[in-house]
Amino acid sequence: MTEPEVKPEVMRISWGPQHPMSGQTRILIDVDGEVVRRIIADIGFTHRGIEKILEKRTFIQGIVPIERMVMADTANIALGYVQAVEEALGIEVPERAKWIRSLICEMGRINSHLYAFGLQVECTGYFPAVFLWTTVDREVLLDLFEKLTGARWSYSFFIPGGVRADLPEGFRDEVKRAVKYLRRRFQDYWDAMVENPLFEMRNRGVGILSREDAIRLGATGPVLRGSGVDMDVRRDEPYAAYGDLDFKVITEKEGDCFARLKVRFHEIEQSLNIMEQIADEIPGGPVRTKVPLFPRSKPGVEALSRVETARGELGVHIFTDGGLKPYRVKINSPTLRNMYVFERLAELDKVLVADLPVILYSIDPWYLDCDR
Amino acid sequence: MSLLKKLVKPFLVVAPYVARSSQTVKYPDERLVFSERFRGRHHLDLDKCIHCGLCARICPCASIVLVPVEGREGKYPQIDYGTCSLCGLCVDACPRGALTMTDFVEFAAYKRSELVYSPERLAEVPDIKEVLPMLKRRIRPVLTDKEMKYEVVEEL
Ligand code: SF4
Ligand code: SF4
Repeated sequence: MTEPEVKPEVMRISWGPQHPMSGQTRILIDVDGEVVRRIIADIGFTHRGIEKILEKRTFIQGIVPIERMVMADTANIALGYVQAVEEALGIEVPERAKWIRSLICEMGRINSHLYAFGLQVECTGYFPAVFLWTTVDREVLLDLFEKLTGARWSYSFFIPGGVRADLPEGFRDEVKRAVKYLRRRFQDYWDAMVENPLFEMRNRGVGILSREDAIRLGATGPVLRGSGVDMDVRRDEPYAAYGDLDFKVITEKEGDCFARLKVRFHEIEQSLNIMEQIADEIPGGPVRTKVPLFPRSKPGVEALSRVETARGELGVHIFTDGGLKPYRVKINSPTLRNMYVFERLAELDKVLVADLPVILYSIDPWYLDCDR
Repeated sequence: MSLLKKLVKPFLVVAPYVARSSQTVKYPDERLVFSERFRGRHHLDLDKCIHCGLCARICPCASIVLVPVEGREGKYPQIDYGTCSLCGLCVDACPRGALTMTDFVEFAAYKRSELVYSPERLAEVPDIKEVLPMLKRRIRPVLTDKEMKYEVVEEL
């Protein structure tokens, strides 16, 4: 990136990429004393060319590289791609497979939100124990993932035509037990953290994003809902089993870091409800339709799939040319859109240097998702 | 709630955790028992393999190459664990069920070339005691309504 000129009255600081709190990207900040005048996110540091890699992989092989986009939330990302492939190739998915997909996606969402929650708490400087708590509680979900899919992180479990295996025996009871345990834990989180006045002071009124600005700048996910915009792809354009499931879309009006944290917190509760519903009501039947190992596409088909990942809306657009591989895959990633919002926040509101980590992690960035 | 009460409450919430059981697995003295479906190192059944090469074609990471084996006809898969992502697509693709996955994850090696496993090496199931001589017990996580703890499955 060619660096924009520095005005004489401000000082430019490079934050990252070798900084524990910036993540794997460089963020340039122009400071005037304690006040941040300008934020420039130098994204692209972790660009891996995933879109190009996908053009070189057959439709089924593509599942593995695209999952590497967001490791904390692989299920939702993979679902976006798999659904697009299914639409492009005209593959039907059995009902039970759709419910299993929703179950895994919700578990992934909790997993990812817990990570974001822990990090945001960590960078306020209070209670580093909470980050460890969230890490330990994620273990409960990771054990479930391991039992169901065979892997703790990158599941490669969704496949065009369904999922790779049915629920193991006794899995529904285990899901219910985990939900019960996590509910208890979230009560502790709420009491120890969210209601803690010190934590509230560091987060309330910091990094305010108004409703109009959120829409104008194209925010998505919890950032958008934290500013009071009621939008969620799961409800607005139901995919997988979400049409049959009963859940609320969480919004908060304030638009500050605290509101975004609360959105994530309540979304976890909704996800737990969804998990319980699925464990109770999942229909029977097959989990996979027969799809050839190397499915061939029809020429000139376009398919678009939208899914709500933990960080916001993901769009995957596939073009085919009649071969065994997609001709082009375009990924619209949520973090990229939220990073634009982060860059503009210094213009919209008075931002202090000490608040920057909190604001950045309230956006919940995942740079690999941003750069692809 | 008064401010003072709010300030004290977090400490009351955190205090009971001091007495909670440890969440750390003391690897390599202890090792987790993984679930049945766990995707670890492959096992190759040389007698079942029909040299079709489907596993090599489906592999998204191009980790599999078919190589000849001494004293046997045909070519068998050789897997490079330097690039393998343990996705298990090769196992799904194998028409004869010759490839399966074990719960073995101890891959560490000094050289990259040692990460390339020949078909003969894939055909052996390694003994965990040889790789981890200090292993004392195998444990598994148990979730109760109140806490997550580890229970000992077997003492070695
Ligand atoms: S597990 Fe996946 S990456 Fe590894 S050899 Fe098999 S297909 Fe290739
Ligand atoms: S797919 Fe199975 S049978 Fe075919 S070459 Fe690979 S291991 Fe052998």
